[in-house]
Amino acid sequence: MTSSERPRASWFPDSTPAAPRTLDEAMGQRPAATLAVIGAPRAIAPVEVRRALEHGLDVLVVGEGLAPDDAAAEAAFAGERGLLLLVDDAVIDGTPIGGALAAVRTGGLAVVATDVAGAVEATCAAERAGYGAGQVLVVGDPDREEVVGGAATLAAVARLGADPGTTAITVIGPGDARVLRAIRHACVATGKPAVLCDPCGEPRRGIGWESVGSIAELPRALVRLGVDPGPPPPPRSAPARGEIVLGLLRARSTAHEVLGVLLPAGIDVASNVARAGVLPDDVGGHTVLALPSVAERIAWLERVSRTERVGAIVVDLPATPAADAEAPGLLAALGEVAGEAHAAGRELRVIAARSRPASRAPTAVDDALAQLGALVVEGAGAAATAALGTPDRGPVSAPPLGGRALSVITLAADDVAASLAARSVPVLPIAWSAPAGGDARLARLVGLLR
Amino acid sequence: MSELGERVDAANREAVRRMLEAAPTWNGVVRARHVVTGLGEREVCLAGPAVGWEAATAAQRRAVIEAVLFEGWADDEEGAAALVEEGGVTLGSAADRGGATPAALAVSPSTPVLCVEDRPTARRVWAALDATTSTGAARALDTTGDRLARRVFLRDALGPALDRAVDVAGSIELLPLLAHALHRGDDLGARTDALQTLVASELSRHLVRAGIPRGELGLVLDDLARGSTVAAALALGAARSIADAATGVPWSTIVTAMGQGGRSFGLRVAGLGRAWVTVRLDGASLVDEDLGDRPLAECVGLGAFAMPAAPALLAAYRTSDGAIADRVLAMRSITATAHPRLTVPLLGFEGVRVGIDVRRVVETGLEPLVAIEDVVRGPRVAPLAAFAAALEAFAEAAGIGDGGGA
Repeated sequence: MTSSERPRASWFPDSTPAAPRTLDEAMGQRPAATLAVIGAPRAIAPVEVRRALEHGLDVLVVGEGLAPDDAAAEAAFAGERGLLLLVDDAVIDGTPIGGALAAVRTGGLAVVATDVAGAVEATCAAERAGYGAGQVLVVGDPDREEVVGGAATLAAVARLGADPGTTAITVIGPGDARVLRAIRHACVATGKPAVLCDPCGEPRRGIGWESVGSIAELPRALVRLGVDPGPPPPPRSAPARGEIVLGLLRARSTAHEVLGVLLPAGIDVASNVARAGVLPDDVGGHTVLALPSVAERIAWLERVSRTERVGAIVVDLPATPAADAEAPGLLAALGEVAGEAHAAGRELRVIAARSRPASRAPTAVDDALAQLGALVVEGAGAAATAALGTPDRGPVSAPPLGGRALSVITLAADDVAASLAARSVPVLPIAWSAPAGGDARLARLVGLLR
Repeated sequence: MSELGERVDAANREAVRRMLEAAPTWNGVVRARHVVTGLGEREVCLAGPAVGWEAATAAQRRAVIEAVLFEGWADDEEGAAALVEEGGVTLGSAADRGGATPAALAVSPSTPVLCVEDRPTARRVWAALDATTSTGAARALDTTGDRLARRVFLRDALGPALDRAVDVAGSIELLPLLAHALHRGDDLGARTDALQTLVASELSRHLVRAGIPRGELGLVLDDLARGSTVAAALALGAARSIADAATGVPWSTIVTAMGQGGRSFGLRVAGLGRAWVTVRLDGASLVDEDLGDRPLAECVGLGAFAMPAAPALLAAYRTSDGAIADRVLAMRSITATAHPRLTVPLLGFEGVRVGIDVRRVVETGLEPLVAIEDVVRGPRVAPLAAFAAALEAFAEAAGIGDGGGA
């Protein structure tokens, strides 16, 4: 009988390994991981980013990000190894990572942008013309500077060139003229149609590529290049009684997360988030609203929740003093609405996305949620999944970028881990704490000695 | 991985290999003056890094005074204290003299110590027999008279008897005894009861064959049956022997000693040789002042790292902190490897984790627990600040950091 077959006491479970505390341990548990999402503080992040790259992982840096010098150094290091160094948000293999790109419709277009705003604008413009984007990669502004030489963009273009699911490449953002020329050459070398959007450049056209001066011209350029939008999205069914999900969220990021679950499930959703920018006139179907003002959320709640077709209300209540201070009014309104629905014999579920550290004692808000009978989950994505009341169908399938299925390790990015888990993406969170209590110098020493 | 990182990893593998190949053997019991290298005529050794009289804790001062009285250098406690304050007695570190003390005990020239030799390398260490008559919280109830009487008994009766018994046996291999004790409920740090039973069983036949006078034999056998003084010293001696095997491996960041000296907590790192790195402890983080060289056990995978082997101890701790089991499992991440011969049944006979790596402690922030007998107070914590200081000392010695690099 091998040691793995011998019985172990119930105090020490043998089937579940202890949560990894470092990237090394995480790689030991998940050697097939492809992406590290790193949200460590800026002073310490370079050490962890370098470690992830040394393990052969693509890296997405979230949170405070990297200082410009560190970003340049790590981008160069990543580029030398053909790895991706991304920032903020991304869509990889049709899976949105981070909130801002949660509503992107998947397709054959690949977008490489210097910032999230450009990525969102490009995907919106493309979608209006029927194009979906299965890969959206944000590389950060410093990448296009001469000193960096577009290392991250070039690595991304090379990877997209080899990706069978990518039918066209779009590169967004200004940069050094020589860097942009190198990027254009790399795009042409892939043999795939390419559009480069440089607000500071002159419109130009070549064989298989175009350079335009604004993102608004992207769709026409794609058409001129003969890029096929692909099949139209499947028709979406109208919600039946008691099936409508009403999302009243204080943060746009959480609204994006909710959309990120609903949209891939083929559900039609009205929203004031991102591209629409306009509040819907009425609740004809699922509605997800980002409303920073609690008074507005209460007003919408009272306006629409009495409709018998609303079956679930999703709210986000982060465990912060500011959110807890404004929560009582919203919870009281939810209590009234839920009481009325119960008295009328209607089922109405209240689902709260609320992340409270175990070390923090429950507050009055937690007590009120318990009294309300609300389902409290961690992460807006999980809340949306619970609201649907059906198993999460997972991400829309797309050929894996780089030939390997997306498998994520997160470090100091618990929100990202939760939203990925809600989408059934393999994710392994690291139980990370800053080295030596956040001492950047010690962290660098450890990095030098590893 | 950086070139420097690879060098450190290779050094750590070598350090741990030496620790795993160590085979501590008990060779005898002699008075400290015969085996403690360089021990002065008026010198006493305390646990942990060297500490002066001013910085010594109350328990250490009490131990020094008892040692002075034991040696007959003074007639009473006041005279003993005065002698030490005037510089008439030197305070040294047991670790610096190749040994270990189990508690706040001052090892003087006449103190009996167990001699442990590493069979493959013939390297010798020693461990002192504890002179307390009680355990855990009751230790504070011992009077100076009780402890002096016990020291006399250890010197004149128990020590010589054990020496004759071990001589009859030839020598006694410690790893098999430690392995058995782990399977019988000891962690070999805070708890050595099973080891005491095994040692008593092993020694009894040799004691009889050694021709110890009947009356004295009865006292010795009673003492072996009553407490775990010998077992605790053997466990400590074995830990010293195993940990010392890694001392001096260049570029290694493996911890070879931990201990408390006065109000400071100290570490030794293999790559820094025998130098101590110490940090001052404040009131909140002051580790049990009676800890002595006990944390040596954790350096070789025993004590807190072997806590799953001691369900009774763990159950007692669980009443105060249910997360200790999780913490013990998590501590595996700061160690290098598992010992092939010292295994824990409750973990599927997984080996105890050997080789605390300073880099990993600093990286994870996971401070090693140190198991102590006092279950009410729960296990103590080796402070992160000590490991951070050790890492900085290592980096400075290696010429890296602050602009340097591999």
